[in-house]
Amino acid sequence: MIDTAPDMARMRRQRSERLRTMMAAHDVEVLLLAAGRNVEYATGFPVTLEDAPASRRSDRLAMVAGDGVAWLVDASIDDDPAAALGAVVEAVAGRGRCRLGVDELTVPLLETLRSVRAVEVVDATPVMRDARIVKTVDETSCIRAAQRINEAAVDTLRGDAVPGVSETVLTERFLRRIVQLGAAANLVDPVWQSMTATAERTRFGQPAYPAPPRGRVLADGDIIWVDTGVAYGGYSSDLGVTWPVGASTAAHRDDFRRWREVTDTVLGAVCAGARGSDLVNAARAATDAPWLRHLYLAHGLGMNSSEPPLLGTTDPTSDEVTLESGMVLVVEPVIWAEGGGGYRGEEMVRVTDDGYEMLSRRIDGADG
Amino acid sequence: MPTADTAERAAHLAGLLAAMRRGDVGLVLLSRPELTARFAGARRLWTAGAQPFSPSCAVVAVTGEVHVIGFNDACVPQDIPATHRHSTCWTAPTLVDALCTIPGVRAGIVVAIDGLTLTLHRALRERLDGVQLVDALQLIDAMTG
Repeated sequence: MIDTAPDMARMRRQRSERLRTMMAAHDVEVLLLAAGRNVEYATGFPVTLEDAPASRRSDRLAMVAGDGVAWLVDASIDDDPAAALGAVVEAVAGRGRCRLGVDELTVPLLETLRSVRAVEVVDATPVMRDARIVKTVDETSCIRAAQRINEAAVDTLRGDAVPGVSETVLTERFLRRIVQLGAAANLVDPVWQSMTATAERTRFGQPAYPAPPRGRVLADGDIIWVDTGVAYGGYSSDLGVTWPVGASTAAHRDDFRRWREVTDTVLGAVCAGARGSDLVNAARAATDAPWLRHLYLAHGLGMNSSEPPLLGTTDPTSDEVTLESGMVLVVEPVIWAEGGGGYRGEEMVRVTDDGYEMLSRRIDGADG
Repeated sequence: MPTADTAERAAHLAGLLAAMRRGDVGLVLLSRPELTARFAGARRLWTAGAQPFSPSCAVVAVTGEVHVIGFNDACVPQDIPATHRHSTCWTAPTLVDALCTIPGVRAGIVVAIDGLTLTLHRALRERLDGVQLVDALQLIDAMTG
């Protein structure tokens, strides 16, 4: 089923149904959404890269009524966007008691909405999280298509990662390749960070990863942690793998074997009904410090390349999520070896009733 | 995303601090990437989405200092000292707890902010008793020079 091409009309329809269901579950009558991906989820209006940093501007928003009808509201041409939006909300929601869900907004907009008669302003975050956290079959098809483009592009670069080649050249070739393969956009500044050359450490004593590319030239003996992401159909991919530059060493192959063991242990805990903390505890039982503490062990993926659930952050309450069939998880354990470069890889799965289904390719060798 | 160099950034900061004095604003909180780049010089890594990977910054009136909240030193200018760098916070209450450790952040303060969720709004009101929230975008638009 997931191998079929996405049916975009069905995807829109099923997203709308999920949204309506979650609005009812959270007792929210109307949504006013400003975060770019929430706007796209609700309206189908594609969020451009230029819009992404403006997600809190509160002038191009989605409004969703309880019957599922969604509007795209553009207040950017008004001198006073908050007042204009307040008038729209009053027209739609102000006829009787209304719980209005909002995600991100400015202070003037919040004050305006709170002054609208009979409207109670509540947090829309739980509605959007619960709608978006389980992917429909067509959302999953988009994610898989994005991942395949990403994998094909990175495959063609493996032989180019040799001593004397710069990060800039790898990036140029990657960006050219993903366009040829049909990606809608690049989502992550491609990371080709040499962990044998990275001196900065976090307060947890681990490497400061990822760092933005600085155009460094690869050297023989480098161990580079690759991280890339592209978009297709409004959804993200996420590809993380480790490459030795030049011949791999026995120590590196050992790091890979340990990473493979930890990853298999974590994946073995994945199934609908499991708790996020089950995955975290499985990783901790397998080895010491099994992920980068300033990040996480695993994250959800969908319209954003990193979205709920986040497992293994410094906020343990986020681990209390119960996995559901249809969630997409990216598992990214790390074996850090001071001085040796270590191994980091990412594998993406769809949670099923009895385990998981791979959405990314399984990493089978120390060379990536 | 391009970031302001040190001299240009110092000029932007001086303008912001002057606007803060005029408006009796004690703290400015910025999370939009282009504003964090302008006033703190900290750039985000990701091209799109993924808010946790965009650094935020706090500008404090009484000290005139800039603090960065982010997950990676590599995206932060070297002239921002270690004491002014704070780890990414995954929840609004932990973010406000981190802000409360910054000298000059106190109850009753006027906070200018570029955008927020209701959860962050509640955390600010609970942990900074008597806090008054105003729009950072209007404050920045009112800067001279």
